[in-house]
Amino acid sequence: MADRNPLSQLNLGRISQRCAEESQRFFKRQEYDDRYCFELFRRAFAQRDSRAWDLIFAQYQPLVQGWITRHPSFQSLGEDAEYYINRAFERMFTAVTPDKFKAFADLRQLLRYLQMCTGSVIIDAARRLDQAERIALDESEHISHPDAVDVEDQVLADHQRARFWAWLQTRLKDDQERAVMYGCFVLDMKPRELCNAHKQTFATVADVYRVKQNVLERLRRDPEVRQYLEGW
Amino acid sequence: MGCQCNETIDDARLLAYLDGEPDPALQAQLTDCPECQARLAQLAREQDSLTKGVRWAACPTVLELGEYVLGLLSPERRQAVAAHIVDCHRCTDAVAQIRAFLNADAVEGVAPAVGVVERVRVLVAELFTPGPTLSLAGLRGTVGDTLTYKADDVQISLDIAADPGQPGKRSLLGLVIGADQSGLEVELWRGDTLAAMTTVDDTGNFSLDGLTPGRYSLALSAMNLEVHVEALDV
Repeated sequence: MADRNPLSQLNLGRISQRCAEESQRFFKRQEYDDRYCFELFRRAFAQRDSRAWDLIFAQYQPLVQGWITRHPSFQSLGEDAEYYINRAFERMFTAVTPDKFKAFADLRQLLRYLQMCTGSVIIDAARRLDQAERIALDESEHISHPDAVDVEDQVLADHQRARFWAWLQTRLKDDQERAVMYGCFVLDMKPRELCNAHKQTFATVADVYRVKQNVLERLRRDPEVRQYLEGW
Repeated sequence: MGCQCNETIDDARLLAYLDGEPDPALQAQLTDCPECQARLAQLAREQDSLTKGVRWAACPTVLELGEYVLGLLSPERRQAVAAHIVDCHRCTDAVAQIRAFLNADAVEGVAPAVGVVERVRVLVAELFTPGPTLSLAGLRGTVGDTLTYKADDVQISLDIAADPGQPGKRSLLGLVIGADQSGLEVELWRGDTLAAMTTVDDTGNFSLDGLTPGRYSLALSAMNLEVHVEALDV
């Protein structure tokens, strides 16, 4: 049976060359044929061809760099664009498995995903910087770099928090306690804010504080909670 | 020494005070009661510690929020993320940032992709049958293998011969029938490297000389047509 995709039989160098040519047409705002670049992505993601991946990186690195340098948060993060370029491509390569690649119909969707990965890397860096500054505030230090909080440590901490929260929910008695714990401690809402958002659950803000008092009193007596949390 | 206050102050009231709820009477009592000050400090530590233990624990990753924006999540997961975003200002902010970033630097809209009917016709030729020797072959001396490839209405006959001018090298002679020869470019690739290139002349012929024996792929391209011959042993 004839292959429906004739490009799948072409050598990689040819595909890469045509991809580069068509990309030039795209950036000159001319009509372009996106199939060659899409084929390059297909080989990289669906076939996990590392050479195709290297070619994609070389082809689209300038595009990603432009996105990064134009991001409103980039200047405040204090890191070279190259760092975020590498993180953006890494994120896409890790996230798009061969199975997931089937969801992409054309080059436009793939590039939009790459752009989203770029934006997400910047947001994560800004969050790490924010967390680093919070830690610094606690310890009376000044930290101005997002990697003052190690990325791997951050991922580990996120997993630990998720597990602890899942476990903690088993210690809660009713919907009011779950609402208070989730709203006030997980989502960082003020009790007045929580009361306004859940008027059917809490008649007044005093009800929120009463539930909070009861939960803290019970958790204070729980040896496992005391073991997990500092200062208890 | 225990609590010095005239009235018992419960933790709920202290928690409200920590959150900035105005309570002038409590503020005055706290000034004079070390016991209550210590309770307040302990409550603050407990809240802070518990917050650090679970804060943002239920949030999707930023990557997942981005996939939510792009409509790539399963219906069940999309529903769960949407429900979380309604309550979580941090994730609401992240989604807004992602949307703004994608809209500010949109990939699409710069230029239209070529419509299907206007796209270059890409064909991969298949070996047909060994064809007749080429008319030019006699001028070059010893005749090598002759191969005929077909792709739709395009036929390519290839003659591989020893290069008389370069011992140990080969020549590839070609004849293209069925395609508009004007401006037809010929590229010979060895792996991912372009080894040689030329153009087809007005009679449909082309030649490539000085080729190192090996496996190649051949690409003929024009404005609206590409024909490829793969796994060509020279």
